[in-house]
Amino acid sequence: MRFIHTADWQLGKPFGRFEAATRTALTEARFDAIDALGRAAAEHGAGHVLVAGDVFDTEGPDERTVVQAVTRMERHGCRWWLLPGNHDFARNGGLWDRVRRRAGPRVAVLAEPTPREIEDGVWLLPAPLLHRHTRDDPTEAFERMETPGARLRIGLAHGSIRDFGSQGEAPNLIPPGRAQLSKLDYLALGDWHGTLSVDARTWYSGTPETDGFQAGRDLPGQCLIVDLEPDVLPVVTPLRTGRYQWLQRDWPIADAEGFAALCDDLLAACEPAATLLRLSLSGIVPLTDRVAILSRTEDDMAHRLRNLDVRDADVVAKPTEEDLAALSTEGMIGRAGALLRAKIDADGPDAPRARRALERLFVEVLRHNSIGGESAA
Amino acid sequence: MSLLIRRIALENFRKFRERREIAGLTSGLNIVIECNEAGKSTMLEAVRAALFLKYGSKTQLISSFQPHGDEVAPEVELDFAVGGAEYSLKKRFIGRAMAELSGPDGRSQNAEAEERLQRLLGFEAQGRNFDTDLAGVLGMLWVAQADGLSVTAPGGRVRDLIGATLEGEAGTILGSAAFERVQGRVEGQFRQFFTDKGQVAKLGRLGLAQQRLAAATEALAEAESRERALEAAFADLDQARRQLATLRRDLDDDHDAETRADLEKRLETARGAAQILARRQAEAAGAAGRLSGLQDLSDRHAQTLERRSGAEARRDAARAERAALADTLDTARTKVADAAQRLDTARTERDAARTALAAAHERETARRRHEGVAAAHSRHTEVLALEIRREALAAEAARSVPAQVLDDLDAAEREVVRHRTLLEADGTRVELIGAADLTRDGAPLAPGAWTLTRETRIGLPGGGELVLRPPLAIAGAKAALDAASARRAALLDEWALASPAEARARNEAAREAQRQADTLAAHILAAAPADRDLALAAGADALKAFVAINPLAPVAAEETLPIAQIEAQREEAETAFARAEAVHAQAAADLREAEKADTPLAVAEQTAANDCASLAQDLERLAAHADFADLAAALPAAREQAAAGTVALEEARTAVAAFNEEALRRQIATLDARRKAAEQARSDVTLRIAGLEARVESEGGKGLAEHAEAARDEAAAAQTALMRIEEEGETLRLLRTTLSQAQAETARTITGPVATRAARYVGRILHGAEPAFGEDLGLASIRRGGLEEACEHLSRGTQEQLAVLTRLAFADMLLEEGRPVSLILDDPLVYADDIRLDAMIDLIAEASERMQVILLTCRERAFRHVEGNRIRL
Repeated sequence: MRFIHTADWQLGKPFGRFEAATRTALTEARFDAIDALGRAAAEHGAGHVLVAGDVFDTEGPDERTVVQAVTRMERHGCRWWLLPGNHDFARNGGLWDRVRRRAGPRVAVLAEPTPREIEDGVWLLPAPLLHRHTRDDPTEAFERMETPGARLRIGLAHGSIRDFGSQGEAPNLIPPGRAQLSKLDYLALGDWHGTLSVDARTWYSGTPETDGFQAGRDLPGQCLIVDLEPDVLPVVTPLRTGRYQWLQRDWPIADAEGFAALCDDLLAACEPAATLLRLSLSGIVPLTDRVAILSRTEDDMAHRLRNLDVRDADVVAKPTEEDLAALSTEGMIGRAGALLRAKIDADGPDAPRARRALERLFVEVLRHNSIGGESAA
Repeated sequence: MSLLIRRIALENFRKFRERREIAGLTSGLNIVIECNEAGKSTMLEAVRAALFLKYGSKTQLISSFQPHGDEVAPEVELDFAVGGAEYSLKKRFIGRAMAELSGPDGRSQNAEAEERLQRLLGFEAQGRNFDTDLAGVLGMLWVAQADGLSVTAPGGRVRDLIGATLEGEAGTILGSAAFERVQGRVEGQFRQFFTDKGQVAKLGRLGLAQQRLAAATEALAEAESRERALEAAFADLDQARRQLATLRRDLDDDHDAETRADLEKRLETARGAAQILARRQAEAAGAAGRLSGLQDLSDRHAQTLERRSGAEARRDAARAERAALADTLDTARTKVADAAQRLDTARTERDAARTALAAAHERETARRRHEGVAAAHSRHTEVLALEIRREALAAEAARSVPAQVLDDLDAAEREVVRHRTLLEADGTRVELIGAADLTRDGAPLAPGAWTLTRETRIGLPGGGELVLRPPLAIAGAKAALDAASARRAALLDEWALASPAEARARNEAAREAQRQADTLAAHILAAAPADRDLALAAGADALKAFVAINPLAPVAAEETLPIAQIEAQREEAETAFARAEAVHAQAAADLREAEKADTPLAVAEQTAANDCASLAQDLERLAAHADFADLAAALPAAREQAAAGTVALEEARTAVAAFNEEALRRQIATLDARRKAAEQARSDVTLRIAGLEARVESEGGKGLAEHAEAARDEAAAAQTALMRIEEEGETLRLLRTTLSQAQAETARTITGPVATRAARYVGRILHGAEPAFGEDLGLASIRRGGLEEACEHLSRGTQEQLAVLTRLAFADMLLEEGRPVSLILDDPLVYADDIRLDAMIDLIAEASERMQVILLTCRERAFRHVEGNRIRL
């Protein structure tokens, strides 16, 4: 018995903080993930795709979102089992009624905690969420589910694994030993956007298409191909489905050269056009280097990558003697630079702004010089 | 380095149609004094045209050089020296336009000539209109008419030149091209955010970011509100569904139905118990009624018997007592009858005594009256006698002479005596002795002596008369004597008196008579007293009248008992009556006492008798009652029956209390109402659910949550963008401000030396005043006496003078730098007073020692005394 375990599609996520073009690309990529899953199912001979919640980003998605989702699923030969999660919880007259109205025979909505025999002797025990937040364990219903003649019992749930060590107040908590408690051969979980194995029979598949930056999670979205046989531990194989890589980097820098090297390494290691980078920079650099770093990020990296988000408030540009000399060649410019430096040195509330103003002044002076140089050349 | 203009020639230039040449201009002060419209300003314009305007230019300014109405080519020639090198310039405009400059480096023409000229004198090519700034230093120092009236800042180029001059002194440099470019770029970037005045530009980046945020916030509010509405609908729907489920459960529940059936059953039982109770109540009431009737009969019979015996006893007692009282009563009655008899007798006697006494009193009265009348008659007689006597006396009294008359008589007597005495004393005593035959006043005169008191005629024998005439006084006395005698005689006659003595005697008699008469009158009054018994008033007249109407009648004498005796008899009769009356009253009281004791006894006896009769009747009636016969047996039976009835009734009551019919009915009604309400609620909720479902279906399909999510993202993004852009804008603002500040500070380091130079001149005109220059090197204000005065607030004359002075200062600085400098003033100092004018002229004269000065003026008198090179046009 082979099936695909996936979750957290978050269809219809708006990505409103990105530029319009990026936004569209990210939104479309989420729909494309469905096709990727469908193809993976076909390629790997999986008849079922179990989606462990958060198929949609909201309980009230746009009709286009619903139609896109359903039609894309219908294109593939496998069976889709959709579990309502906390983002798309089940309620009367809500989202899932709309999905049902649109869906064909290949798409099954598991909006009720009722076991389903998906294949001969293979029972699916769903724990749909009926509210956005609930203090109750949604998988508690597994205890009462009758699965006559079950060869395999597969649990499907959405929520955090309860950690007895912490004073967790998080909603939708699932006890860590649920698979064992309810004699499940496999518990397919959703909610955690990265792939995670809780135990041999309990897995978070992660999202098939990454939708946010997470430190230490560089991998693009993936799904799990699960091989399940009675009385044997499941064989779980991650498979990449995601298009975009979301990288978060925190670089301490000392000069423009070091920064350039880091940039080069990063670009070499990824597919820049499909990479979103959140870059936090810190360090004290000479003013000229600062300008060079700015130029590298603004004029080069930003264009190469799908998206670049630089946070460089912690980069302090310290003018060198040469910098100052360059400024002082012009009497009034030198005087303006001195005024700004005085503000920076005073370290008052407007010191950061003065630092940026000084950088800007420096950039303008340099730009003028370089333009002069270019025109001379 | 001085610029020295030596010769100016012009032709077809404005009013100078013919060629005109002004030669002989020297270094130092050149003064051109000409009247208005002589062409002084035209000359200055021609010099400026020759130097600064392009020969090939066809601007309106150039055209205006042509003499009015002529299509000719304006032409200017200029000979000048710069730093000792001699130059000659010729320029023609419009037709066959040309420029030619010849100097130590040779001759050049047209554009080349103009370029050389620019380099030589440091100016830039002019555009359509003449710009003094482009004309450089000379633009500033060649002051056209009215241009020098107010203080203006030098142009940028001049400032640069001055700045360069001051570089050494100020230790800094003024804005270079690099600075200006940086500033320009920053300004350009700034203007992407803000307006010129630093306000947020609506269509700038910041403005747009703000608009984006505003729009996003609004969209978010809208989206969230719609989302909330939908969520509320979901919540309502959920609640309605739960309500419906509850209602259904309630309606399907048969617990209520069972309860109701049970209640119905109990109600039935309750109804039966109620009927039994009613029956028992009736039965008990019947038994109690019969018992009470029999009991009553028995009681009444016993009571009647008892009462009858009581009445009889009372009657008998009353009778016995009355019998005892009867004797006393009879005695009392007899006594009363006797007393009444005696009382009647006493009354009769008393009345007779009273009558007799009254008659006696009448008789006494009559007798007394008769006596009174008789007395009156006797007094009347007496009075009459007295009155006769009194009348005689009254007549006597009436003869008296009045006292006045007596006095008059005495007076007359005294007069007579006095006058006679006087006559005898004073009169002439005549005495006839012995002679007869003499007559006196016809009467024979007897001898004797007499007193002659009047003219007396003594008839002498022989017929003669001796007339004796007493003195006049004697004659008067005689007359008075006569008059007095006459008066006395008259009085005596009147009262029939012989003498006054007689009068006195008569009066004496009269008084006596009067006294006696008065005595008699008192007697009369005493004789006629008042008598009240007779109704007679006092006085003689009343008496007379009384007597007249009461003649004296004879009275029959009769024998009667004395009145006192009669009086005593009556007293006795009265006493007897009073005693009889008292005796009678006592007897009557005794009788009443006796009767009072008897009456209640009689009443009691009668009442008791009546009671006996009535009770006897009652007994008869009771005996006639149907139940009376076997009352003794019936009564215990009835008692037993009533007790049984009461027990049965209590049982029935207990039964009814156990099944409260009313409460049961209420419970049933409550159950029914509850069910009905639940049914109604079910139908309402079903309707509401249908409505909400429709709404949820319709709204849910609109993707409100997704839209809201997108709107939230957008709002957050807009907020972030706005903050970033704001920061960027503010950074630019800071940079821009800082650049301006740097510029201002730099400028300030330069204005110092400029002010120092200008102060030398300003102090000459305005004593103790210091000039202060702005960043643009324009004279901003004057400080004197510790007060700052802005230039534009100074008087027009002072402003004009300061305009010239600052130019002098700049000229000096430029001269130090080796710039070609020359000062032309067209009609300057028009507002200066004489003292200031002289001081200014001194300064200009001093300046002319360092540079060429050409002074054009129309004021002959003001400049007549100034030493200098006089030029005429």
